[in-house]
Amino acid sequence: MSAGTISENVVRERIADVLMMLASITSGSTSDRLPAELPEDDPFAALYAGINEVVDTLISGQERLETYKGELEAKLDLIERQRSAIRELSTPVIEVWANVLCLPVVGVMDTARSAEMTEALLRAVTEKKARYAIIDVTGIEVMDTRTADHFLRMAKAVRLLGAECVVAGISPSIAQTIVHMGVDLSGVITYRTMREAMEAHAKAGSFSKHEALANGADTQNGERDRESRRQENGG
Amino acid sequence: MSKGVSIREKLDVFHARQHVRGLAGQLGFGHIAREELAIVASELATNILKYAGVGELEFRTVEDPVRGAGIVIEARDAGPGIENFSFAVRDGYGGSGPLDPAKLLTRGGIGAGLGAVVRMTDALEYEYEAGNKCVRATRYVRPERRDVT
Ligand SMILES: Nc1ncnc2c1ncn2[C@@H]1O[C@H](COP(=O)(O)OP(=O)(O)OP(=O)(O)O)[C@@H](O)[C@H]1O
Ligand SMILES: [Mg+2]
Repeated sequence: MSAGTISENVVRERIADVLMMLASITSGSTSDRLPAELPEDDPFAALYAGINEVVDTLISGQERLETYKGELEAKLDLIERQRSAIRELSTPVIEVWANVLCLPVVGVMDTARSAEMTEALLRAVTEKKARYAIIDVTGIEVMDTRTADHFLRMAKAVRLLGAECVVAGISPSIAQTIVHMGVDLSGVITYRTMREAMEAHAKAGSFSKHEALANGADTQNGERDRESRRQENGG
Repeated sequence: MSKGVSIREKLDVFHARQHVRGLAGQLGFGHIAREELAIVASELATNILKYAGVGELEFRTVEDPVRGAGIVIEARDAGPGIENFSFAVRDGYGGSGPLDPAKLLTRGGIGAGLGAVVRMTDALEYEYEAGNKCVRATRYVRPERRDVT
């Protein structure tokens, strides 16, 4: 085996073959390879085989990476979808502070949800000896009249357990539902946001819950809050 | 145009809701109506899980010459069926009569699911044939609605 056995023209041709194949691989082809049918004593045979092998390895690595990337994206997508589903389907009770509970409601407030919430809230108030519970309905646009009624009853039931239950983030449409129902709002205090409900509680300290609520209500100037305070005082 | 969402587990209730929200958006339902339809789908799907175990929600669009576009939700299952539908749609009632208020909570509901469906749709029908049950709720974009009050 010596390079002297092939002409310079052939050498040029072979080099051109290699360059063209590499160029086509670079531009995205995955199937181009150098011809394998060179005579065995051809000095280029071993070089071709070597180059083909390297290209094979590179391409299969690339393909694995693509598959992996695809799977990863599909999984992230699934996780994202599951996450929003979990948020919508669960009824978490978060102890934001000692003796302070928060129940954020995401998604819809249907009858199953309101029954679940009642159970979760009453249990948590007892178990965690909570004195203040905030139900955060920000993002809930609509409630059926009967559900809203049940909801307000639940808030009052919490009082029987020695805690205060306030509602944050009631939407205009739900407020309207409640007004139309003509239910007794006494004992149910509302805040525009979860933050305001927390601040109201923190401001007065957690010693006297009734004072805390009264002071909290003083910081409000929304019509609905005045309304609920009036109701609170009246009832 | 129609699409079925099979109801086998709690996650499917979410899928049914998402589907009807999308459909309502396409048909030009407003924000509130869309969320009301999500509650309707939720109640019908939850009842399937609760009383039949498995079933299907089918969503169709309809076009009424007077009321314009609408969505029909058909809830089907092969469960025991509803004994008395006019009882079932009443708040605080089950399919066979008034529910015991003391037991309401422990049975995982407040007995007002179908009542809410009535209040949030324009028509509600019930069919029971050869073991197959279908609750059909229709809601139009331009409604002549029963007043919620
Ligand atoms: N798919 C169904 N199969 C059999 N019975 C049903 C079905 N859906 C409803 N029912 C009957 O109709 C009654 C009323 O249903 P509705 O959804 O109004 O209340 P609920 O499911 O008892 O309570 P809630 O919906 O408030 O959680 C139920 O108690 C049940 O007896
Ligand atoms: Mg129900």
